[in-house]
Amino acid sequence: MKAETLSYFHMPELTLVGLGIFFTFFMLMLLWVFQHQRKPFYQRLEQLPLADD
Amino acid sequence: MIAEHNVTHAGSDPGELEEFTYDDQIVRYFAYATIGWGLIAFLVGLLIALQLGLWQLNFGLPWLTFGRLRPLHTNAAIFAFAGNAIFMGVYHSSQRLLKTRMFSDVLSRMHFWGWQLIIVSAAIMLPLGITQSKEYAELEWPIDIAITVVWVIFAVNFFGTIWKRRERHIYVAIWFYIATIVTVAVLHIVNSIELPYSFLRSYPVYAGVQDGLVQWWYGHNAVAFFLTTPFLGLMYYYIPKAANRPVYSYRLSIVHFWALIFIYIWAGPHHLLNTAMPEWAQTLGMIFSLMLWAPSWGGMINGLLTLRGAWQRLRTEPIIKFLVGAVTFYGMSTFEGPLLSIKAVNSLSHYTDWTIGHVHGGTLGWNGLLTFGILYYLVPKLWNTELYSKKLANVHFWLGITGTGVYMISLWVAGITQGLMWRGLTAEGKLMYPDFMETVTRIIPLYWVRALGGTMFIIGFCIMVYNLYKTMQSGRISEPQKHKARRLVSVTTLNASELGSKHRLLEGLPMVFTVLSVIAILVGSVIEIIPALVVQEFVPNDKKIKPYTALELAGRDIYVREGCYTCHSQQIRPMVSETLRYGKPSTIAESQYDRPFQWGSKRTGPDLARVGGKYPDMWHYRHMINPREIVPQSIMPNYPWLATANTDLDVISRKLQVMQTLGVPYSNDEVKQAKADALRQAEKIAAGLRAEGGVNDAELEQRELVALIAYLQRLGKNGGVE
Repeated sequence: MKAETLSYFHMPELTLVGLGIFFTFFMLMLLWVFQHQRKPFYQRLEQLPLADD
Repeated sequence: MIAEHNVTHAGSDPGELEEFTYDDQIVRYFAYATIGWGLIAFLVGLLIALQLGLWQLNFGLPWLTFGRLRPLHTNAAIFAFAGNAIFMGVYHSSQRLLKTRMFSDVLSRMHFWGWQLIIVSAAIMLPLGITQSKEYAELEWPIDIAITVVWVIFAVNFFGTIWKRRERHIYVAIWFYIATIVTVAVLHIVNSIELPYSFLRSYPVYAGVQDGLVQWWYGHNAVAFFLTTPFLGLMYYYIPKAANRPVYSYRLSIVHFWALIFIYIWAGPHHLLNTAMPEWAQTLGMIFSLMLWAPSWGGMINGLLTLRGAWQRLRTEPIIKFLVGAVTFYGMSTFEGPLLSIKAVNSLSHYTDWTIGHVHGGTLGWNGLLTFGILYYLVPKLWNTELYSKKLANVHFWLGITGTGVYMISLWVAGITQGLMWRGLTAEGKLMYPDFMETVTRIIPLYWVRALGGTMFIIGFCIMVYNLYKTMQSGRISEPQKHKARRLVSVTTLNASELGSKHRLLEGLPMVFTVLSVIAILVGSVIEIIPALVVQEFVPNDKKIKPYTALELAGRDIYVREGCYTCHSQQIRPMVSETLRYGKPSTIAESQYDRPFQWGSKRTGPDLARVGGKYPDMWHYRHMINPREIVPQSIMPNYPWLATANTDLDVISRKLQVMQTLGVPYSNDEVKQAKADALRQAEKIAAGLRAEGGVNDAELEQRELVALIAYLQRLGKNGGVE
């Protein structure tokens, strides 16, 4: 089953590269977003739509 | 009165205080256009829904047939109604979030009038049959160029506004707008590469499976980046605004954004599951579609929980009702989409009305209700008054939500019923419902229920139009309000401590952000499409399969013009029931010369991939003029004009020449003698029709119907090689 599925992947390295990019990118983004010191900054940002028209 | 913004933030952005106004007139223009085109899109949708129940509503007129009006409906709903709604919200919210007037009033107006001109052109050309037949990308090359120009105008205006902003940091709604602008540009340009053979006609550079892959990479992401990301941006602005409280989690909105734009772009192949498309691309499309559950629901939860502590307003505020209703439908649609992308589920749902029910849950429920909520919010503000009637808005809400529900449920039932009937086998291994018509007549009552749901939705819409008209009438357009905010000092003159951190610096640099967004969408696009385009072994070119003859090609173009693909697929899936009904599964090689590909996405009628030779020429001749003469219960329109109009063979040499340029192995002699060859083949078919059926037409060989018969009889025959 596994061998059969993999036999269809003509360029398997490309999908692995894609998965690698996505995983790395996603983890870095999570680490960046959830830094504790960023909270005041987000608190200011989330107020932006609430300013007067 | 002068409203003041970031005035007290001296120290972080010590620029001088400036006075400015917003351009709300452009927002009003787009609001008018949204309402006007919305009405047209919905009415055309209702007409084609009724045509499926009552074929007579095709009126025997070429420009009113289902095949030509269905693309008009989808284009009007997506690009005219939703498109103008996006621009309305983007122009209104961006100015406020960036604390500046749009970059250029002239560009704003060029964008507005250019977009309306494109819509009018589409409304003329699609009923005339001027189409590429690629779903949501039907418009021909001159309009494709116009779309590119107008989109660039919009992009320059938008990025110019960011450049002259007075707010250092970019709110998440603007991120969604940026992703929309750059991705739609990439999608449109890549999918629209075509070679014209006349003023209004062209062939795509991609053929067969490549065309399918590129088209559904585009088609799926048109949903993603035209009907989802810009509306999510609007959600992140208008829900906090209407509820008067900040978004539930700003952090979640960032994760939502990056995960969504990265994953969405990969999911296109789920439109081609169980087809001849390579297995790995199907698996990739399915897995990424399932992964989409997470960011989509993250966004929905973020939108809904913004109302924490304010749920009581759901009872009293119609705007909140519409916005919450929209986000709820977004959640339902984004649950159903991945579900339908599971190959086993898709084998049942694909080509049925289940898919149509699903997309209408998204467009009516998500895009429609959100747009209505924004209109109810904006019109009183832009006309300086109160909403004329909350009661009417509530009536609209309940009609809209009930109509959408009725619509979706009726088509779920229709789709599942038909899907099960198609695959039903007897104990002896034969088809339980071998007559395709039986699977059509069984679901026609559900088409009437669907039309009822659509009618309720339209009545609600008309109530909104009346309510907003009375609101506008009671209000007035006053002088633009003056605002004050500090000019931004260039980031290069600020050090990191003044900005807070280097991360903030990054968020303050929209160009860097835009590049990152482009990379995020290109990764999936490149990995998915490049193998199909560059690897020869991936798309085996079968030399035994002959290109279409000149007459077959002319007939194929008539097939495309009439929008036959809107009801007939040309792709037999490797399933027992399909093989029993239609013949052996389709292969990649069989459509290697198909420009555009005609695999289709819906089977209101049977698959035609192997219809060639199944019936005599006379059967097709009579069936096209009046399908009920052959199949009494058929709901297909009559095509009598095909028996009286002549095939345009003056351009046939040019067509073959363009195909030759694109790599189709026509010899120079075949190109030169195309017209003579076509007439020779037509004479043969015409002689048969005269002898077999006594067709009394002195110019029969000239008729379009003869060319169409030549094409239909070729399907599945591969030019004599089976």
